[in-house]
Formats: sequence, structure tokens, C-alpha cells
Amino acid sequence: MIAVMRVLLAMFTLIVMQACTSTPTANTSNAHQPKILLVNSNRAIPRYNTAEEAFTEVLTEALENELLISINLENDERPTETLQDILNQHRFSAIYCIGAKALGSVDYIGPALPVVYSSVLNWRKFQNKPGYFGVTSEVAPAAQLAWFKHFFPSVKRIGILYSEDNQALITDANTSANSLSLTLQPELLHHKSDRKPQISRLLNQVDALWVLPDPLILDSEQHTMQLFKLAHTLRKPIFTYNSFFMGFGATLSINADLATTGRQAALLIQTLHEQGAPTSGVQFPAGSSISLNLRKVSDNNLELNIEAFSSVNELLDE
Amino acid sequence: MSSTLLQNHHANTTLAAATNVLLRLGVALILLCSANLRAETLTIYHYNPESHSDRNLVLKNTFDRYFQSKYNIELQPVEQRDTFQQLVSQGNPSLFVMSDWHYQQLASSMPKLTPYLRGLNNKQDTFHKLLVGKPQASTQRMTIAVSGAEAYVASILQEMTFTLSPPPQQTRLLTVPKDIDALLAVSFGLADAALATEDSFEKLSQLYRNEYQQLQILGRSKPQKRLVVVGIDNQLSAVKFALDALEEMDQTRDGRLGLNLLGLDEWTRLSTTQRKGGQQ
Repeated sequence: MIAVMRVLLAMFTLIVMQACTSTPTANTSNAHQPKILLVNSNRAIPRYNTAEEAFTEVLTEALENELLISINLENDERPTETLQDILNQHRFSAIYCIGAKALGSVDYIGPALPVVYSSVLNWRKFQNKPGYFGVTSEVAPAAQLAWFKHFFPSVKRIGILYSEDNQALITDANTSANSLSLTLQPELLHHKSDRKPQISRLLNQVDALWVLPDPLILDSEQHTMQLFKLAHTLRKPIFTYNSFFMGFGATLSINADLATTGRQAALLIQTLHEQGAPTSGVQFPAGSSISLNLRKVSDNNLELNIEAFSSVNELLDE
Repeated sequence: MSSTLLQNHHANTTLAAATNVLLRLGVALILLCSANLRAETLTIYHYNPESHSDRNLVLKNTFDRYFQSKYNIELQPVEQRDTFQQLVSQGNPSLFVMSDWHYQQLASSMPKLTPYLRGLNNKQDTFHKLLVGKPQASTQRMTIAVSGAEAYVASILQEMTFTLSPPPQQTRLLTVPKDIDALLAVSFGLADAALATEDSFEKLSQLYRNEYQQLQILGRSKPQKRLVVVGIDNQLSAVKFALDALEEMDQTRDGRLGLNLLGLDEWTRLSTTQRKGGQQ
């Protein structure tokens, strides 16, 4: 029995060691073919792993002669050295980066190869960079607004708090809102202002509040909680772009479907191979994952379109 | 006096002991009964290649909330087609919610499968799949956004009637979770065309009129039968209560939510003739 346990423990240790190191894993061993390099910031993070699995599934089927080498930067304190070694050892045709650590490390080295990325929050930094092609972290604002309208047709006036960083996004969102017969009421927040009266005033004028990925509005947990508390007190629903905010009491969240972002990245690589550079350097996630809190729907006296329920992925009732 | 007290005390002790034994027996009996009830829970399995499987958790929670109110039934969504088919072939008293396309495939090799209920939406038991794209969609290469399993998509595209020409040889599929995602993917330039139900395309017209107006129908499938609830022949008596429970779903809020997740608004019972022919 002890001997069996020892063997099992040794096998387990070996598996864990293999999973934790940055040693590249290739799906075949032909050294002469150009390869795709997949760099995962941390495979232990489910959202990163989901994107990798979906990417690998699509690409393995599509590119029979292509090799895929995958590395995991989890626990790697010298990621650029690891990457440089691999880039020196193999001939690659493209790199796919999952997460900011992977993209930051590849960008630091600056290889003369097309780079595709996903799950990077500061994607805007790379959107105009030549040779970089990515899938954003958030569903297109136009699609988010369409889903809001689909779930809650009676919500017509939507408030947004934003900082100057998001001015361009607000302009685009306004155009989309107009085509959906929705009215956006944007409220610009300044760094030093006391935000509480401004938020309360906005909430009193709108049917719902749309939380965007804004570095000033969500600059601390305290400010985020304050925002949600004010909305709850005034019984105004909050719609968001990430299911993380369901824990704060959001009513509806339109999240990017991570498996789809991995599939899109694989199609981007295929397009690069077949047609050269895609027309756009950045694309929004094509798939959505929707979280809905039924308790908040009732607390906020919202009229839910029952037909929209068929699109829900995560249902909360608390 | 003390003797009476002693007798009373003795009687009380005996009574307490007897009550204790009875209580223990009662608890044991309740546990036995509940274990027995748990053992008799009927499982309804669900697998549908027409739609993406990432909503299995919400599907299970919604159905189980409906069943919990008065039925000893649970829903078990299955992600893998092979696992689902194994469960069907085991022949245990269960029910299976599946696409008609899948049922027709299984029925040829499993003659004991019997369809009992058919899903309806707006009283219709069929739907059409449409290939929708922008007017300039027919290029040398085409990316089609789809929400179903690859084998199902291939079969639909194969038998589809196209307005102009069929998709080019070099067609790639982008699998997304929902039909509306597929349609929006075309609107946002992420795919050249989308395969979606006629209902979903109509939903887009209400949701996003501007985008809807820019899309056109490139192909239309033959009528596809909606979801079917299948059991094993000669097991009707064991599963009848579950068929009743499914049939009554449209009468409660939780039931309607569950139906809605399947894209239905009610189930209708198939007659013996319909069951034999598999058609209505």
C-alpha cells in the first residue's frame, strides 16, 4: 500500500512539475516546419486555459502541417529569457499571447513576427501597433446596448460615468445608442471631485447605470462599492461588462465568451497565413456570456423580457 | 409517598426510554424513506447539438427549481454526444431531451426509442435555419458564425437551398454561444455569414433594426422538427409522471423559464401514430 502511494505521489509530483515549468510542449516534433508559438500568462487561470484550449482545438484541425508550441509563464520570473531561448531555437510564423504577462514579455523582445493576443485589459495600448492583432476583453459597446434593450425593453435612458480617458468610447456608444432608440446620459467625472452628489444626481435622472471599464470610476474597491450602494438605495439597476460585478450586486452583465476569443485568435492566425494582415488590428469578441440576477430584477421593479431569458448563461437569485 | 414518587419516576424513565426508542425508529424510518425516495429520482438527460453547451448549469438549475416544487425528477444536461448516446443505449427508465436530427440518427439503430413529447414555439413544431450575410458575402473564402455542433452544421448546410450560390469550398466555422452572437458577428465584420434560426433572425429585427436591414438571406434549410422527448419502449409506466411534469411546464413561471431556455413555449404529446411515424 505504501509502495503504491509512493509511486502515485511520484507520478503526481512529476505531472505538477511538468505543468508548472515553462518547458515548451509541441503537438508534433518536426523541426523544419514553421511553428506557431502560444504564450499563456498562467495556464492555471481558468479564463486563460479556456482560451488556450479553444485556440488549440481550432488550429490543430485547420493547420495540419503547422506545429504548435505552447509555453506557460506561470511562476516564470524571467519570462523574456524563456521566450528568447525558444525564439532562438525554433522558426515561428506567428505568436499568440494570452494575458498581459505574455503580451508584455513578447512586446519587450519585439520579434519580427505577427503577434495575436487576447485577454489583455489594456488592449488599447496595442490597437494601432503594426503587426499586432487582438481580440478585446469586452463585448462591443453596441452589442452590450443591444442586449440591455433585449432584456429590459422599458429601460430607455441609461447613465454612464466616465473619465476623459473614455471620451472616444462614449462618442461611439452614443451613435450605437441612437440607432437602438436608447438615450445615453454620460457624466464626466474629474479626479478631484466629490463623486457622491454627482453619482446620485445622475442616478435620479436615468432608468439604469452602465458601468464601463474606466480607470477613474473603478479606481478602488471603496469607490466601486459606493457606486453600487448608491444605485441600490435608489433602486437603479447596474449593467456591466464583466461578471465580476455580479458580486457587487449588478443586475445584468454582458461578458466576453472566452472560448470564442480563443477561436477568433485561431482564425486571425489562419487569416494571417492565407491573406496577410487582417483589415482591422483589433476585433471585439464574437461570443457573449450573459449573467442575470433575478432578485435584482425584482428589487429594481424591472420588466424582464421573458424571451431574452433563453440567452442567459449564469443565473443568480440573491 | 416516596414509593409513589419512585414509581412515577420509574414510569417516567420507562416512558422516556420508550419515547427515545420510538423517536430513533421514526428518524431511521424517515431516513430510510428519504433514501428510498432519492434512489427513485428520475433523471431526464439533455443533449442538443443544435445549440452550444455552455449553458448547462443554468439549464439544470432552472429545470430542477421547477421539478423541486412537486416532482422527484432532476435534469442532467450532457456535454458529450458519446456520453449521451451511452446513457440512451443503457436502457434505464429515463427520458432524453434531444434534437429531432439526433433522434432520427439514433432511431435507425435503436428501434426501442420512442418519442413522447414534441417541443412547440408559437404552436409551431418546426423551424428553419437560415444562412444570413451581407450582400457581398459570397467571396472565395467564407467564415460562417454558428452556434451548433460541427456535424449538425455540416448536415444543415448540405441540404440547404441557396438564394444565389452555395458557400465556397474554403469555408471556416466560427463557433459562438448563441444565434444572436452569430448574427451580430456578421454585423460587426467578424464573420461573412451566420447560420441562425428564422426566429433568431426575426429577434434581431426587433433588437437591432439597422443591422438587420443590412443583412440578407443567402440560404434556407428544409423545415426542421423541434426538440423531442424520447423514452424507451415498454417503460412508459415508469416515466409517465415525468412526461406529465414536462407537459405541465407552461403552467408555472419556473417551468416557462425552463422551456424558454430550450427555445420553446410548450410541449405537446405525440399520438401513437405520430410516435410510430415520428412525424406529426
